[in-house]
Amino acid sequence: MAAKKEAYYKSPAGSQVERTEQNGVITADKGLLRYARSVTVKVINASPILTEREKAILREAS
Amino acid sequence: MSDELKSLAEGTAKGAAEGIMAGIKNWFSRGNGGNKKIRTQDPTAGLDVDFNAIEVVRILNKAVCVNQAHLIQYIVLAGALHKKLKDRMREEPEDLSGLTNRLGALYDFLNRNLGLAAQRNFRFLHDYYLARSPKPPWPRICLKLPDENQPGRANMLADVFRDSDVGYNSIYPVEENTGHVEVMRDGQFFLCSDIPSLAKEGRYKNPRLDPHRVEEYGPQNEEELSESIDKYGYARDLAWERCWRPSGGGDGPARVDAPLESCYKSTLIIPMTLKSHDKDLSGDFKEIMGLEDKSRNIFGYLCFDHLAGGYFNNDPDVAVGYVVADILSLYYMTQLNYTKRSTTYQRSIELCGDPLETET
Repeated sequence: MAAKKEAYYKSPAGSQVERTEQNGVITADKGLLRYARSVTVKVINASPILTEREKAILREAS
Repeated sequence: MSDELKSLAEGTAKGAAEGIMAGIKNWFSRGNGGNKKIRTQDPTAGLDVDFNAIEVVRILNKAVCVNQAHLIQYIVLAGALHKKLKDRMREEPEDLSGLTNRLGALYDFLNRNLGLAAQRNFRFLHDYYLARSPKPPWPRICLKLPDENQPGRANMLADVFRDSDVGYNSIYPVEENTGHVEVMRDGQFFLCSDIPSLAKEGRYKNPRLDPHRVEEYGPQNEEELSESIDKYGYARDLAWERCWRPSGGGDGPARVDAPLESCYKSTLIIPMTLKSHDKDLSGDFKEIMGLEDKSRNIFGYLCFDHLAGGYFNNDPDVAVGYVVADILSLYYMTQLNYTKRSTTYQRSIELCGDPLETET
């Protein structure tokens, strides 16, 4: 039984009592999930901070 | 400054630094840390975990420093691009082309740079695990987010950014993964260091694990162990590898070709949360963020897994995981603030459509 406990330990130290409180959820923006599906790690790592289009928009006079 | 004073100042600074380092060493040595050698529970894993507290602090110091600059940049540039969209909407709402261009720019910037932030922080975690266990393999890392966009399916979870491409998408209901169920229940991290035993006892579920194969799973015989060595030089647990499906979900039988690294025995899940009952958080903030009146609101999960049993430690793996999860949550909240929480962004989507589809 002791071995089992070692094999499965979670929780911050000391909190052995199961807490049953419910937690809320904040869901992600649909666009982010779609974007993440469309790129690979390689593509992300090769990306610039700002693209030319973004630079141009930022420089436009308001 | 005179040489004498300079020498005194340097001596004082050195003494202070030594004191801080001693404190840090002491802090890390409370649990499994310190500079002690720790042998993992699984003798076949062959991992010697040697924590170097000073190295860990240096890595975290660098991570915070780099993120400080990048986060400020992210907030400022996102705000500027959002303002450009808002201005165009107010001044020329009939110019759909111009509006679409600005919406697309904001959309691309926010998501691309969130991805860059994730990858940057995954690399700090790589540095940490490299310092902690110099020999590969190292853990896989993934950011998962609650997904409400799967038609007809509630409580879904989607992998968003990973430290390496895995060849499969992982979108499944929270209740199909014991780790996420546990985190949802108590809002705390989940650490399992022996998935095979727990799964065999019916106490661990994962959408990629074939329950029938798990039921049949048992230790390999000596002959099989000696014949199968993986690319890292460790004995392969072929029976365990056969328990994993190569991709998430489905009721079909497991196949033998699930990637080696995806057949893990240890997992650590760190939630990204906001404590709704924190008395220092204003009611207005909670309303804007859409926080439910629950103990905590969970908005993401930083997930780690590893081939070997007994790989992760309560201390300091969990603490380091929380540092990075909290850093990433700052970028992510900025992204949410300018998308889901922005009426300008939502109105632009209604007018122009999804930027990913209308990209020119």
